[in-house]
Amino acid sequence: MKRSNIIDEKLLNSIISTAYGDANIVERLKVYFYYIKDPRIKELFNEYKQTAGAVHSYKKLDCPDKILQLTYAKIYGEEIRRRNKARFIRFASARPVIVTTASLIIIALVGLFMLNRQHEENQYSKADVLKAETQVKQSLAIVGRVFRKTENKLTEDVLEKHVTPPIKKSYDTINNLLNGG
Amino acid sequence: MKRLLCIISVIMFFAVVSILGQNKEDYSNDPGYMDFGDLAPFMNSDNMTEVNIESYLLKMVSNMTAKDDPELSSLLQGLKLVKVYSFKVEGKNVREISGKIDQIDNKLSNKDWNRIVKVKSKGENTNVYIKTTPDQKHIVGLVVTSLEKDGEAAFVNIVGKIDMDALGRLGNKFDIPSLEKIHK
Repeated sequence: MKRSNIIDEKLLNSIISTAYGDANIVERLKVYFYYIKDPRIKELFNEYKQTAGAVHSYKKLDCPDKILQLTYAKIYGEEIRRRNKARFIRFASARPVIVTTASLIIIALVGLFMLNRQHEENQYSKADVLKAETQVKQSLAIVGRVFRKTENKLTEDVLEKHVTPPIKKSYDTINNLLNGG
Repeated sequence: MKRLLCIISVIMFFAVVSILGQNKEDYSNDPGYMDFGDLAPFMNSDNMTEVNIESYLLKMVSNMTAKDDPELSSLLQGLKLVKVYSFKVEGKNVREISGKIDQIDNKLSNKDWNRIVKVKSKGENTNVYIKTTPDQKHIVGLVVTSLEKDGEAAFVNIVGKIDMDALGRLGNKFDIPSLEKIHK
């Protein structure tokens, strides 16, 4: 660090970039000339080169998005919350009428909704619910009766009268033929 | 400022109307809903059953029956509307009701309902339709139109998520003699 203080800042950046392989051709040539000319630069460059080698030897890992998000939230979450809060306070103090009216509307709507729910709950007595239960059962009974009649019609009327006799007749015909009748 | 207050008043008005309007739910846009039209001319007060139970009351019945009849409770949980008209017709009304059933049949066929039962013989005209979700995984509507030989007519519309197996089982279970007496 001490050494880098006596070297020009721009040159130091070029040395670091070259050591890490990020420098352009002009920077690389400049560093190369200093490298040959000045042993301190040579030493410094070698140190950075060594560090760069160590850094590059680390395996690149794919960090799951979830961890990245958590890390981001951990680092910047508080900052974002603080900024949003400050933004809201700025907005509220700049437009008090809008904020007050919006709050009143929300309170009124929630109140109305709750009152309405209460009204709905009180709308039906226990007798009403019991009557509704009987009516539901009556309705299901009507549907059940239609289903059952259809089923009976299918088994007794359609299958028994219209499907079974021709099948039986066919069997009889085949039996007669096989028996040589 | 005046303009802002005007806008806010309009928003408040519509919000209040919509919230209060929730009391009377509109099922006409529900895919499982069917409007049978005006059946009043066929219904005389001596021999008729009219049932119209909406979702909130159905949920209350469902909660009440949860302990004694869990199957009924579970069936009712998914329902939004149960609408039934059952009455006896005689004379020229028999032909008119049969015509009405045919009209409903056309209407439902045009609206992509599936007819699962059709029985049409002398003096008898019965149809059962179901409406499924577009992916055909759930039944969201049931319509039964029935006219029997003895003149007993029934129009049923059940709206909501319907378990047909449970409906069939419960239909048989509740067809108790006392209910038969009501209709005969």
